[in-house]
Amino acid sequence: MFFRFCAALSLVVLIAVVGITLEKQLLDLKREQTLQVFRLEQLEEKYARLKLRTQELGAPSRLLESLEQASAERAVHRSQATANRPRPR
Amino acid sequence: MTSPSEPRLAWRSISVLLTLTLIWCVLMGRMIQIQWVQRDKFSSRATRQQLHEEVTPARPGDLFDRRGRLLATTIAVQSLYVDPAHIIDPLNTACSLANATGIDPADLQQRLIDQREKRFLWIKRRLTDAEVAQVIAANLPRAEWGFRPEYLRVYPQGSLAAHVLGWRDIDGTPHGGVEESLNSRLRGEPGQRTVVRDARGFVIDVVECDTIPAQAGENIQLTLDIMSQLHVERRMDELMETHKPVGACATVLDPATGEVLAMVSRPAFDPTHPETAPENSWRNLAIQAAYEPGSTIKPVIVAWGLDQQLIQTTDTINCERGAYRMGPRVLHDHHRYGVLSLKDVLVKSSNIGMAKIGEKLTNPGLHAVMTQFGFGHRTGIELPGELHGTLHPLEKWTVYSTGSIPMGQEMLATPLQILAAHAALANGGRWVTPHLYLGSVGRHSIAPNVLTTDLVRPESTRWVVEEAMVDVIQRGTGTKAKLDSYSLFGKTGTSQKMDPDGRYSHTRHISSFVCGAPVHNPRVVVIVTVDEPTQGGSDYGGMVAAPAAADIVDDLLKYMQVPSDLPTKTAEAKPRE
Repeated sequence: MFFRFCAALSLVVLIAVVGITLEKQLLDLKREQTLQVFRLEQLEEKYARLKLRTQELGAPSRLLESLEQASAERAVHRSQATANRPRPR
Repeated sequence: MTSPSEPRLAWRSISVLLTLTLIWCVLMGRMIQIQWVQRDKFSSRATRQQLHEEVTPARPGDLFDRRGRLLATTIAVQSLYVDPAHIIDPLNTACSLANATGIDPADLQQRLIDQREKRFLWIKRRLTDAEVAQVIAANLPRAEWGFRPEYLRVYPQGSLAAHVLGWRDIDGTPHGGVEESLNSRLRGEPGQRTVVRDARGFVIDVVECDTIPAQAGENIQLTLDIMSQLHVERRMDELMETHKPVGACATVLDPATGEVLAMVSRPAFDPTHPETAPENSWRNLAIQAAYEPGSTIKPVIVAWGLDQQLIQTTDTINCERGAYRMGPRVLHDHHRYGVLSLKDVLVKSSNIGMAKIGEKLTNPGLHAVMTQFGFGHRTGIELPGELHGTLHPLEKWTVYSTGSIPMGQEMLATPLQILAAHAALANGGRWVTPHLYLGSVGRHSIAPNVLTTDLVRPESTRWVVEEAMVDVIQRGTGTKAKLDSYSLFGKTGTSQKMDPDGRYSHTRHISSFVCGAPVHNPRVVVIVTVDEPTQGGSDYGGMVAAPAAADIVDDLLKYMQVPSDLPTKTAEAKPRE
């Protein structure tokens, strides 16, 4: 009788422990899933910001302005160098 | 033997027992009331307190140009709010938040005091990363404040194509441009999630089974080419500087496909900082300004007349030495022309010659050509607020109309309508809907909604484009548009604006020029319209708009690596003015 009672009790406890373990695993997986979704959102945001930055840096208007400025400066330097060059006698 | 204190003890025990039983009964009763009788009420109250449904905003889709360059994108930023009812020390909170966000502490403190009974108050929206870090570093009680993520629309190309793109306000509502017209596809679908909060309001769990994820908006590719757009914008800025007009606009179209390669309107605004925009900069003049097209309409009338065989390319027209009575009205030309060939009527832009062509076409014929070429109707471009222009119903036309319509009066058209009509001439007589939408990126793309209609036979348009409109540039009103590298066809137009008394002004004009190149296989057609040029000597379309339009064509064809179709010696012999 005592043995049967103990066996039944053990079975109930075992089922409860297994249930708790499964529940914990489920919670862990849900937490992991939430974390992955969060990481994905973070990566998407990072991607958007990096894409924005690269496009800002490579914007045609910006590049063209700097190129034109550089060529204007070169022209000024060249004209100054020509003016300073000693004339052949 | 029992002691005398025993009955007293028994009575005490009974009393304690009864009291405990009574308490137990009360507790049981209350428990039954809570768990059974009022179960639904308390259960729903608990759910209401613990579960919160939140809307997760969708990230709007990006906009790209035809080569995949980013025109508009969205980033997530934090906005700061407070819970005024939870703030214990408004002065301290106001000072800390004001230091972090750069707003006036006295104002903030006053706002916190005035709205202390509220549970939500925005402090500053769209904080920078540095401001967010400073707010966190202020270490205020967590119940007093919070961040709420929001999306911020950013335009990495600055003010380029501002009128085409439009902009989004602080709440993400689109205003103007494709942002507004394509919003149903760009905005995406907001999601929903249910969160479980504790007594302090902090989220402790997300009910996954109730979560509907947000669907990001479509990434859309436009027909615009941002390099072409940049070239056109720079040339239009130059024009604005030289002629100081009230406004100006330019549009570039691929005549074969109807794709808009560039569209510029001046004055402009910066979509990232719309608050700095001048009052008159919101209108996209290419589609939201209608004016009398003037002489730019003449090639369309001639092409239709040729197609209907009402006129012949070999016809000559007596231009009556500059004055011609047409019913009760006397028409005048700028010069006293005698007999002109049909080609010269266009080349010299004779109003009398065109009025006589109008007599041959008659009013129903003229009305038909205007309707067929899309005047009086919106072109259908994917932009909000497009005007349909004005083309009166045929019943309202009079004998004046026979002379006025062929010279581009008595009707109103937008620059885009005129350009679409000229694109039809350039591509062999097929009217194509001008459009900006090219396709979707990364999804099943929907084809652009483009209508094509064959209007006139290619032989008719070929003569008008390759003979008459080329001569307009070579020896007519458009000589300022001659190019060294490409053969160009075009037509000038100068229309008078109306004075407040309803009469034509002699001082205020709209100058326009529409052209295309290369002549035998046009890759681009361009219209430049200048509203009331005030400086630069002349306000004729051939003097104001033509040089800008020619520069635009030249720049764009070189950028598109279209080989030159003119012999090199011509380029050396005739340097462009």
